[in-house]
Amino acid sequence: MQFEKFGNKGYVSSSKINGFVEALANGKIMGANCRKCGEFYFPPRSDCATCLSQETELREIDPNCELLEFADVPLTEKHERFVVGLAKLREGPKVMARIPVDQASGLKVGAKMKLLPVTYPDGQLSYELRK
Amino acid sequence: MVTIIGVGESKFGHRLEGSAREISFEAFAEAMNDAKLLSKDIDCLLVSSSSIPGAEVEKGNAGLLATYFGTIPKPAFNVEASCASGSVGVRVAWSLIESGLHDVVAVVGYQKIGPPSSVKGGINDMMWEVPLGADHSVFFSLYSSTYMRVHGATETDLNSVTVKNRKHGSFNEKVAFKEPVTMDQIQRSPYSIPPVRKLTVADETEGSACLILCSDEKARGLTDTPISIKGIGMGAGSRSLAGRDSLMSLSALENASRDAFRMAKMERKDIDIAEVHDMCPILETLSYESSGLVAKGQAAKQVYDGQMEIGGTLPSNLDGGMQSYGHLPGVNGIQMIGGLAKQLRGDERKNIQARGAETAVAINLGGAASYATTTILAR
Repeated sequence: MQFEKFGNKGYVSSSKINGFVEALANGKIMGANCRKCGEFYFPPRSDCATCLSQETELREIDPNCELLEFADVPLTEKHERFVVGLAKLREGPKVMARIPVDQASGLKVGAKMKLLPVTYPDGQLSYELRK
Repeated sequence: MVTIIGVGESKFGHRLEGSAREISFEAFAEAMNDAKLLSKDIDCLLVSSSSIPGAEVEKGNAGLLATYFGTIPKPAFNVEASCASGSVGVRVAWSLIESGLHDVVAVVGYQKIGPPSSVKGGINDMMWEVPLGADHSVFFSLYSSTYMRVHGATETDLNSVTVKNRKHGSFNEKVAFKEPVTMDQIQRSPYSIPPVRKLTVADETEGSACLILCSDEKARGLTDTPISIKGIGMGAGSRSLAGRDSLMSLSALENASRDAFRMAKMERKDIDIAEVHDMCPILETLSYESSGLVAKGQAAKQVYDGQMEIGGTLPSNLDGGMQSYGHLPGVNGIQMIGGLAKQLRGDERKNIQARGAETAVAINLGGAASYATTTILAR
């Protein structure tokens, strides 16, 4: 499975961590640990910036996170309304992800949320922040 | 020490008559006349360029401009750092002169809008964030919301940046947007993404800017009003939004400013005037704070109170800034530094001359503030 399946519209076709997309298709969101020094990465990477190892191992993340900020992007001629959030995973790294519009009502910074996999009607795969 | 001896600009606008090389020549010729030099006197030509979606970028354009300007066979090459390309070009020119490799270096940047291209989201993480909708508007919105929430600032506080800079730009014959705007006009304009109004985001325009730099020794025989580059720093930060430590500061700029002030052996309080990257009000606001020019949480209020206008504590963007010139990634940094050099020289600029200014700082950001430069000038 090619990496361009990730996101509402993918721009990168080939990646050494295509396994991330395959796992997403199976309902799992993966981060990566460096096999040499153990550094944890989310989003996952195939290369370690800490020890320069090129061997990392995908593993499922803890989906719990806290909303840090969000942007409610209005409807335009080019796209539907959508909401983008920035959240801090319980495991440490931050993530940018869409928040379903039906979850945006009453949204507050500091809200406890979960990062969950989603498959869109056109077959694209992603993750979303949900309450 | 490196000195600015020539400053030039084309006119700026949405659709200028002329090709990219012709518009670039306007700025080059003005800078060369200012420096009283001819093309044969240039030892190296740097072309700062970066492609916005839809920009007309000729591949290898440094070679094309060298041919058109008549600087061949001297070296020519491109420098690219997104919207900071202009000031990074100046930084590279500075290092070429400091190293002794070249005596006189020209830095030119241009932007010409071409047919729509398929390039998207060039300033954000193309693998992880652009596919989810991240672009510069999302970036502005997230930072603006955070600033307002944490510091209790209002839209009016932030948007005072646009009112101020468009007011300054109304005195500048060369800018693309010469009409001032009122706070009422801004508040009645549609949102890009709340809390950011479309009218406060610099639009893409066309134009060119050029600087001629040389060593202090060389400048002595060429100009009576040399402007020295006292400090020049650059930093880099996370390109992805999620990879940043904070949305309340610009880490790349913190590092750039620390290095520039250290090099210049100057304090923030020593600066008389500034040009500050203002593609959107939140960027000018955070730039004051991340560079240390203004205390955290105080910048929006100080702009609102008029402290960044003539007569204030730190007159800024006296040329009109990007709010008046427009957003031109390869050009803005060069234009900012050139505008400050002219201010320090005391060139006549009706109603908008910071009389007596002796020191200045230019702050240029790029790639959603993942690049930042701080350039300190003095006469």
